[in-house]
Amino acid sequence: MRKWVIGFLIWLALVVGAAGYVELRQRSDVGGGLAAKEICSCMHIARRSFDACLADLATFPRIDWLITAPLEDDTGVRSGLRGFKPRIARFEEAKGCTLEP
Amino acid sequence: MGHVRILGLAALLALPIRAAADTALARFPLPPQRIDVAYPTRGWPRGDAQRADHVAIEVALGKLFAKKNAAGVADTRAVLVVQGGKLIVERYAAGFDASSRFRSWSAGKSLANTWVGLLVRDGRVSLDEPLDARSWRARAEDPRRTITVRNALHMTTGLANEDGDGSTTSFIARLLFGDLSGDTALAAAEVAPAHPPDAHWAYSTGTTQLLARLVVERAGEDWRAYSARELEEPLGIRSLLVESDRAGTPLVGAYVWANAQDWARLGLLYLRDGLWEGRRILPAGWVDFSRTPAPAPNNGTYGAHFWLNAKPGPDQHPMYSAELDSFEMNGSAGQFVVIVPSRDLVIVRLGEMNASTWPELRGALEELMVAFAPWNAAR
Repeated sequence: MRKWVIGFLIWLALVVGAAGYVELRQRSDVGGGLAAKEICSCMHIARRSFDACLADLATFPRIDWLITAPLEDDTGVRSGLRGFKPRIARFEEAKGCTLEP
Repeated sequence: MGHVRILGLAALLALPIRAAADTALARFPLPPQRIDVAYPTRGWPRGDAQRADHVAIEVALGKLFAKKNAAGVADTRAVLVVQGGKLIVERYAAGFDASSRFRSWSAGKSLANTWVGLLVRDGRVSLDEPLDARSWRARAEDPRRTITVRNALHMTTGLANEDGDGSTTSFIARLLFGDLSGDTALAAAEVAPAHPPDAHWAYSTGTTQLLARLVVERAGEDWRAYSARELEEPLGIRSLLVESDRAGTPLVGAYVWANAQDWARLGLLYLRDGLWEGRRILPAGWVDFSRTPAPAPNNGTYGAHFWLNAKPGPDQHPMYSAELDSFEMNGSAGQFVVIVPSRDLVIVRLGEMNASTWPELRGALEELMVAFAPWNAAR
């Protein structure tokens, strides 16, 4: 009986963990995509500072969970949850800011 | 996006009601430009408000600029009022000026209307031809091939690509920022029909992206060059920038950038029935088509990629009091280009909505509109 309970709890933890991972990955992908795209466009098209652009995203839910920063070469912005692949938006003169796959 | 809250199951269960929009108001005649006022092609003529309530104007402006974001920047970044073709009010928040570009969100969708109008004028597109997205052409019997350009402008394609609630799994979030963002037109096309065309109104940035792809295919040249020659240069628009997705489709459904004066020029083009300095930019009747409610039973306030001040459908929000015959471009975070033919007005409000709300912004905009006397009385 005890073995069965432990097995069930492990299974439950795996299911909850997998669902949580999928949820967090989706949040990182879409939320990071939004932050990267919005801030990249704001900086490169509206010519505003990173901090000023970031401040306008404050009301998006859980936006502060994201790690967001300009790219080192100043061509765009990256954003994502810690531990997940960040989304990158890069500015090109002809297209504006596009999100990389 | 954002402004229209789709109610999901509630929307499916709601009984269809007859669209009760007041088309008489919607068709208030579009006033011509006075011959003694130049079009703002090379700069805006300035003027004073005649027979306007100046105190009410200041009160409304005070309300619009009152709310601030966490960094202390006013939510409203720019307000312009044009009456009689003259710039009457031009006000910016600290840190912004006439050169500042503002992002459209969904207000950009109305630019898709403009581009399609140009193509109709040039005989390159007709309203009742099939939209015929690339991926539908493989099968002659594909039911989506009956969807027309008119259906797309009316947001009545019946395709299951409506924006949704803006959550991370919603179509709009995936389309602009998630797994569908690489080729927005393809993603918007590759969905099943949920309704026959014209039977159901559903707000869809994806549908605008289908129109954007049509523009790319029919412009006959680079779409930027076409827009520059046929629209921007004649109107004196210098700041317009439309971003694209990775497939090269303009993101006209959300990412159009322009300064406030250029947004006002676009509004004035519609107030003047598509005419500019005697030249027909949009085909005759196009603006009336744009400000007539789409014929779906659950729609009241949507025309052809323009919002109308009319009785809302079940999933739509009220706009202004019934006396105003306005139609408008609008987008998330309170982007507005409001056109009021009876008062010969164009009102532009651009910025963010960190601390303000839709009812507050609409209330202040209405106060601003009614502060100006009806145009016939003002002359």
